[in-house]
Amino acid sequence: MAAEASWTRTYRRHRGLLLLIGPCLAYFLVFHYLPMVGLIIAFKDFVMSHGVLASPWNGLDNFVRLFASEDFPRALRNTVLISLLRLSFGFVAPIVLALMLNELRIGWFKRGVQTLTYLPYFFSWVILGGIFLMLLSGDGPANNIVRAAGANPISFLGDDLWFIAVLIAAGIWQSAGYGAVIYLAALAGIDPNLYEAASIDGAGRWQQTLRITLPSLVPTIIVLFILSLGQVLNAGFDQIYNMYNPIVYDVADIIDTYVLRRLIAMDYALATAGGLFKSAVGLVLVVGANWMARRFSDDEYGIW
Amino acid sequence: MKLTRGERVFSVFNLVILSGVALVALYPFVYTVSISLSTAAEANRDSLHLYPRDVSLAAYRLVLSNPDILNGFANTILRTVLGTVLTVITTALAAYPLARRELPHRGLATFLILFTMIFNGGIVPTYLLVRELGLLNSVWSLVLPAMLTAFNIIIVKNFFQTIPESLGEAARVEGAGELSILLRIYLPLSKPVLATISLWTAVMHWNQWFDAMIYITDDRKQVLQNFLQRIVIENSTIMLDLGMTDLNVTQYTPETIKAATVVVTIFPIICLYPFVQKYFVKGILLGGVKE
Amino acid sequence: MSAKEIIGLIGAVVIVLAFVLFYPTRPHEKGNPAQADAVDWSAVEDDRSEQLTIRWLGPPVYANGQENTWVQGLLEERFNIRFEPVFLDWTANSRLKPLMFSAGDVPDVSWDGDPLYVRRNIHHGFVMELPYEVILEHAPTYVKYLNQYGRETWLFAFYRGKNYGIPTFAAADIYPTAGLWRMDWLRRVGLSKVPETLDEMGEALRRFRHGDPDGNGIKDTYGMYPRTHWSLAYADVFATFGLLPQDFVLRQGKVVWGGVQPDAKEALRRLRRWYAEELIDPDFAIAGRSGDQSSKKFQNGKIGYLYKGGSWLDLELKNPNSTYSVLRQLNPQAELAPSRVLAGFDGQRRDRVWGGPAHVMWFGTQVAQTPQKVLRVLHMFETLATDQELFVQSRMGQRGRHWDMSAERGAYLLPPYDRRGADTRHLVHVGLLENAYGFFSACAAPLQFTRGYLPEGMAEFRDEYSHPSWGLKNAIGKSDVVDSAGRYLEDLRHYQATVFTEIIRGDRPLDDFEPFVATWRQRGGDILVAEANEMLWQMYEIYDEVGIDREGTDGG
Repeated sequence: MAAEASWTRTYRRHRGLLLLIGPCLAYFLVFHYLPMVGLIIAFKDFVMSHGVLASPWNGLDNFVRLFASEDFPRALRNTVLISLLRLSFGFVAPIVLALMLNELRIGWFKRGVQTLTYLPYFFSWVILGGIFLMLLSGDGPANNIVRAAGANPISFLGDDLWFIAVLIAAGIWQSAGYGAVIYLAALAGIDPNLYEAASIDGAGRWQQTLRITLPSLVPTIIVLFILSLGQVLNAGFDQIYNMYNPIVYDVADIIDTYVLRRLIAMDYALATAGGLFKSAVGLVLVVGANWMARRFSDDEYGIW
Repeated sequence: MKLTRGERVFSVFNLVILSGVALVALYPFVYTVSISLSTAAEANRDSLHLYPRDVSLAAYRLVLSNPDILNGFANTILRTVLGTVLTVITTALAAYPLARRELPHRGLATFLILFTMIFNGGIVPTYLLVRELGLLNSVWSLVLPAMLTAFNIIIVKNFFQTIPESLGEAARVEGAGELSILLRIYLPLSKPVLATISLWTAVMHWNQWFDAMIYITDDRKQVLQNFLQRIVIENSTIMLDLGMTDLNVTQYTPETIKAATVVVTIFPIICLYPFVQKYFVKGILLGGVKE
Repeated sequence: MSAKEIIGLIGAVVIVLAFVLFYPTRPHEKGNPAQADAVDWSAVEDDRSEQLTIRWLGPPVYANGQENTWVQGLLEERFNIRFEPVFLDWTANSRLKPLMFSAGDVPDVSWDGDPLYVRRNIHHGFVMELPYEVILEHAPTYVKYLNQYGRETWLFAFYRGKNYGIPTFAAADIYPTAGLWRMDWLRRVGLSKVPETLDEMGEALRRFRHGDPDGNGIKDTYGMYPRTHWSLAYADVFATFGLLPQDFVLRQGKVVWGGVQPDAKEALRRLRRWYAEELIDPDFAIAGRSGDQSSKKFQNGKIGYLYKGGSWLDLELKNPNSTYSVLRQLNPQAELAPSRVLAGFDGQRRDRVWGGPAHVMWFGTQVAQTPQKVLRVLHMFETLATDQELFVQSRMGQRGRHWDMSAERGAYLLPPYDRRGADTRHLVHVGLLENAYGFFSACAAPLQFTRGYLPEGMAEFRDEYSHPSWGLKNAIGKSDVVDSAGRYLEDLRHYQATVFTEIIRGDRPLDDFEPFVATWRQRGGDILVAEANEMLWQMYEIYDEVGIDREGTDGG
């Protein structure tokens, strides 16, 4: 009884906050959790005219089919590999860019560079894919430079290793400006007095960056890192779909391109099974990373 | 401020590198504008296409003479404005309580929201839901399902958490309710983050076409991106491969039309961007909210 | 999160799961279509004085089509139907259509382009059975033309012993397409005529690469650049070996997969040698989805031979954007010559064609309640197959208002209908009358209907350079007609494309061909081939039912 009473009291005291969060949770319930019931078709022989609920169950058949196929395990391997590479290089790039932008002291130049680096983000990969093909083909500008340097032309898009390198680099080029905005917004929150104080103490700019700027970015970095772990099995569908070719299927066919093939063939059960697997792995990684982050920071960082 | 020699070297180095990065980032825009203004022959020429040597407005004439385009523009503006306004308002409303440590079940609520970032129901159930809610062929089908996203909420929540709680406390002592604390104290201090998520949301709405393709079947309510998508696909070589040859098809090259289409679509948002970006700069000026 | 919250969360999940688990499921025999009511066709009468309302989903060519066009009115009045047309674009056709169906929104009549989709829709319980007798009885003339031009389409509408719709045909797909050569290049490297065999082609390509055909003193030209779509990649070379690499072909009365035949290795050996001799532009391997670069390379003067460029339209100098015109703008001295399909080692010319089988128009299961709609639609198809004027009007509208014709141009649209997008908006579509893409008249016209509407010279060009007798088509119409296509076909196509490209580029030894075949068979290929052979016999049985003489078929 006592416990109940204290609960009611807590609720009453914070009813203002609860009234605000209530509609938000209701929204998520309707628009996100309700459709999640549809995930059960991963365990069903989905017959569309019967509907999601009335279709007969078939246990783990869809998952067995998924992993028994030649292409899914390979797609899984490629996805993880590409994601890890993106995480190691692509994650750092916007931080570096933001720090470099932050060091610029000429206002118009800073704004200009920021605008321009953001620009590629507005272009879809359908367009960018065509541009890269033109730039990197056998007689394209990139190979003209290679030839001028006296080397043999490189098949940038037709060689497994080069292709992955191009993929990662192009991904960074397209989205680093966009990613930097978030860090710039965080940098905007730093108290200028801190820099002043440090400078009075005789700290140079490099020291200031190390001691003030970088540490103030840490919370943002941790949040973004944990969230991006949840996307580890999304290796960047749009980009790959628009850049890959038969020569590199072996390294570039990812879970999403595989799932799309199943979707187009109206094999929704298998597509859902593939998606569910992806989500489950993402959940484990996010929960694990969050737990680690909290544990090693005395509950200071972490996203919940 | 006096700079050491090393710092001066770094400054120059930084300036040069960033100029290079900016130029490289500008290239796809230059390329696309150049192709869109080219004749068929010029577009097919092997070149970097820094500028068109042989100018033609045929692709623009084709894209802009399509009677659906203006209509599509109007619908896209509607969804972008409505969607962005709603997203910013509701995201702030959702992020505020989550930013407050005293919210009961705060961890659970945060988890429930984050969970949706990783799991989603897939295309079939989501379509059925929107249909059941009677939203088909209405702008709400484009706005509501994407209104609140876990990512935006987390970003805004984290920003709110940097605002000193003592500011809110003071107002609370004076008898202000939570909503008015949010409106009068938190929101005015949060312009940078709100500007950031507005831009993201606006760009997302502006470019999104897949949802409109499945939820909107009435062409009067269709968005710009879908009409442009159709023009591009109609002119693609895939259609020719499928034996869909047609006396009209060969009149334009797919490349110039695609490029004109892209320019028409992204031009407005590129024009808008510097104005929104001002807010980031202002945010940097307003930066010192910490005591 | 506290322990209580976690317990609460788990509790909520358990309740939802319990509801879902114990929700009554409908029995469904694995692999068989969901059952629908059977119709007693002998009792169905169609009273043509009764107006019928038919919701009609046509082919996705008319994305911006409008209701109540002249064409719709014409057919409505003639057949006493009230149409409710549904217009989708290509993307919506593959992505939105299944969603509409799953929400119970199945039109009375629907178009499906590939057998894979017809069969998926049957499997998911959306399609009504339509016995052969009904079609034969109510649309005999239509069936006659179908049997003549696209008999394999019958197979597309067939699933587990039953027929599920009206197959359509595309008469224009029987023409193979000619190649294009740079005649000025050929002359400069000392050849006086367009190559007609594989060896002659190899020699011409060799001189194009090594003989400086553009006379600029730089070795910057290649011989050829293959097309990217699976149906076209090196199809010209493989066809001279009597093979379609990505299709089922007939060998000694049996269906086999072209790409795994020993001849395919010979074709690869040849291509590999050509690649090693630098006759093939190495960029071919990387184009991917960014599109087919072959026309661009050709127009830029990088290659001297273009496969599948050579239709009559490409050579039209009056059109400033035709292949020839653009080539001339970039290379003023260029001269083009079409080439006939290459002759194989036996002297027989062969080239891949779709061959006439087209699509399926099927009825939703709910039409079982009003089966007279089926008879009315069949009556419409039959009339369109017998009434030339009506057919032409159903495609192009009214002469003098929507279109006119002259000897030089053939049929052409009048303003404002000739504006891009205006044609499809009004459901008038010139293109070729011989395709299967009319909105209501999804059937093609038999060739004798359309010949008079073609531009001057087109028929002669076809006879000379792309004669129908040179066409080589898939033995069962389209490969995805087999049951397991959805499961294996697309992945195997990917796999084969990779291995072939790697062998041609020399990344793999030629002898990797045999291990490739073994892997291909083990990864589902054997199953596909076995099913394709069953389909072939099934096809002959269907031929018996629909009145096609087995003797007249390739394998019967």
